[in-house]
Amino acid sequence: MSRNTSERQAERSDWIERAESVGPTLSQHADASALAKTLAPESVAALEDAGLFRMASPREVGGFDVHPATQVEAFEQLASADVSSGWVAMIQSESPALAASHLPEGAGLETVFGHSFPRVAGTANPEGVATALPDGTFKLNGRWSFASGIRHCGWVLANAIVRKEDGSRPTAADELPPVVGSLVPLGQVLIEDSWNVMGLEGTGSCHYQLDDVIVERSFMTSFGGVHSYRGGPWFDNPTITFLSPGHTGIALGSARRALELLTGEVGNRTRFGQASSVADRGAFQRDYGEMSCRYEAARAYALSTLDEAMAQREAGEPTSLAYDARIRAMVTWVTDTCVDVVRFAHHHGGGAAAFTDSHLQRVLRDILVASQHIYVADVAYERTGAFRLGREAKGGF
Amino acid sequence: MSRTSPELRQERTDWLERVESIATRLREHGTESIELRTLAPASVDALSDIGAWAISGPTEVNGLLAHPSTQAEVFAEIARADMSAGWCTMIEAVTAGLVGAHLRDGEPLETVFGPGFPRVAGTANPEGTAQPCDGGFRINGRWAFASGIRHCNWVLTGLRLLDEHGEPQVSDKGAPLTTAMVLPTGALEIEDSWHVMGLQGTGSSHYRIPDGVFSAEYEMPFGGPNPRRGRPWCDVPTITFLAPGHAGIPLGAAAAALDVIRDTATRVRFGSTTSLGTRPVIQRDFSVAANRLAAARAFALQVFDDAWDQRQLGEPITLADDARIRSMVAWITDTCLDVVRFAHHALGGAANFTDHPLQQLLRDVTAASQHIFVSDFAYERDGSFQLAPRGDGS
Repeated sequence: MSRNTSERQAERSDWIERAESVGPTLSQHADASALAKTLAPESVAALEDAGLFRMASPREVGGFDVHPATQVEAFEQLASADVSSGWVAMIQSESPALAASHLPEGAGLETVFGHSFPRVAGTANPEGVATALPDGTFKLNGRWSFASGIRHCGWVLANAIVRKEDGSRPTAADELPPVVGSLVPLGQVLIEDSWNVMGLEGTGSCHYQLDDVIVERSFMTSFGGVHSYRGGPWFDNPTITFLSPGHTGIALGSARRALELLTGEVGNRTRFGQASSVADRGAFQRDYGEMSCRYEAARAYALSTLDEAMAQREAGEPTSLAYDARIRAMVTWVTDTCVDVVRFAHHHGGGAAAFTDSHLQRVLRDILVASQHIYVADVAYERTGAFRLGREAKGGF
Repeated sequence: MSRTSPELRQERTDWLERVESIATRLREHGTESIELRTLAPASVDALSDIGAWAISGPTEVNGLLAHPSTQAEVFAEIARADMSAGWCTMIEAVTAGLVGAHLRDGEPLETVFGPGFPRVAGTANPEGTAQPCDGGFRINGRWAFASGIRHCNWVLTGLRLLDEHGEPQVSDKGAPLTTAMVLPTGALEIEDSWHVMGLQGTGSSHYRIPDGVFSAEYEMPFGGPNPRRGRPWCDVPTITFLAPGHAGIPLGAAAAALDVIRDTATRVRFGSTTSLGTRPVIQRDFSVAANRLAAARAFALQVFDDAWDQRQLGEPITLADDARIRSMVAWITDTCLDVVRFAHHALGGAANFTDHPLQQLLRDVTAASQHIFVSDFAYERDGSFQLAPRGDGS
């Protein structure tokens, strides 16, 4: 489905409208979310009611499997209202999508997705241990970090490294995967009050612990990979490519918000000792022009890359790790570019942007924390650089 | 040529030893200052113990006026231990220096400097008004960014002059006439307004004076070329006089950030097979950052050395020099901000948490870089002198 079909256009308009419609609610409750260190109930309800948690999931489980470029635009729209809300929408649309596409048919799928569409938090880093038990179940133990939105979720998708009962690594003969994902109901999860952070406070990305939690095989997924049971062509991607719209949209939305703030009150201010307002200065106008170009270039790069990636999947072309690395590097570059845009905007806010009720400082802190995510770490450049130079890329993520 | 004399070398060594002697105390009370949103009493005491508030003050008022390069290094080392402590020290030291240089002799000088070297907060922006009246000036207004005011005895306050009818006084060219007054902090209403993203420990609250009358004896220019004391350094343009302070802070922040990376170089991030410090990419970027910091530091010290030497030789610091000095400070601030950002970013998710020193350093240096002194106007003004000299430097 190319970008210009009327079907695709209709889908795009629909999702941008959905994201726009919740914007005022998200903005209005941004302070409350930051203060509570988790997304305000009003914002969660607005996202859910507008169907945004279902945006990325397979149609087979009630999702909408929206085109990745449209996802970017929807996340961008949400983040421009409140970055924490955009972030939670990203995690909570991607986590159920990964769960729904990778769960086998059976009790697990039925329990999690058989009723109303679930709220699923997820943490990619396999920080815990899944011990394989003789009856085919697994016992989960450990402590995971960065579980965005977990306080209002019903399930968490926890990745863990697999060990045998004696603690040893499985061998090929054991026929066990090295890492598994498990869907655990929130009642069995101990959430820590650990989300004391410099930005994205409203995401409630707390640590959580699992203590001897038994998980049946039907509640377990493979970790990443392209072996999806459900969903359209976008699900044929490696996990990193699959997750790319979210981080891209968050960065773009932050930059857009920052640039918008400069066109209003911030730009009309005259700072101490200056003859003209910020927006009347030639130097500022030049930089604003350049930063607007950077934002638009980042946006165009992201949308065209994901259009192309989707077209490849629809044509049934195979994926590769080199291509996956390239997508991730694109997302990282978009993020770095948007950080620069937001920093520029914040800087011109001057002393007024030092105060915690300034929108500009909120956006700056939010995007700085977003840019610390492992997805957009500079390892991404290293990996794509290695592939482009004809070398093997090291490491997994 | 500067600071090659044995006296100046000794001065530098002595000051850095004094700072070293309190660095641990400052570090230990950093979190307390953030929670209090003003500098912790223990940190104020530590800085008092080493005479830090007097480092920019004329010797005639028992100040310890140090070479500007030494001042910058001292502010940097204090900031390296605790950014908010460094910030308060530099604001209060340079403000006390201005007051010590310009305040009238007699009762005002006796009152402010008689009981021991004072702690003076300062707000340069003339956000309030002074109207002549019986007994002195009638003062009204609300001022922002009064760093350290909760532990200061005095504040140097910027004012717009009004005439007897309450109309603004203006120059021949129509510019508002301004002045400054030294006021006792007991006469101010300090607001609980310092809710900020960084430098939370500086307590840079708003304060207001609703209609107070103060003796005209305590009026003085906010710096300028005609000080009563402290020649030949206190007569430089005000911005030059303040420059070692704003230069020291970012240098301290960048040094502290690289310290943290050195100390945590063994961290292994999710998906990486090697620790931070063994990744060639990080090694490369660390080296670039360290070079940037070293270059910024060398640049600052060279500029201050030159300015000091110029004054020793009896040459004035022109407004063009002043603009160039300010743009240097803006440049090293921007450079050090990049160094801190590198460090923060390199450490990843762990640096997001509020108990991590790198997110605090990033907040602090970001807040510091929002100060009007180091805004990019500094480049514009310097550029205008270099490309289209106007002579008046307005």
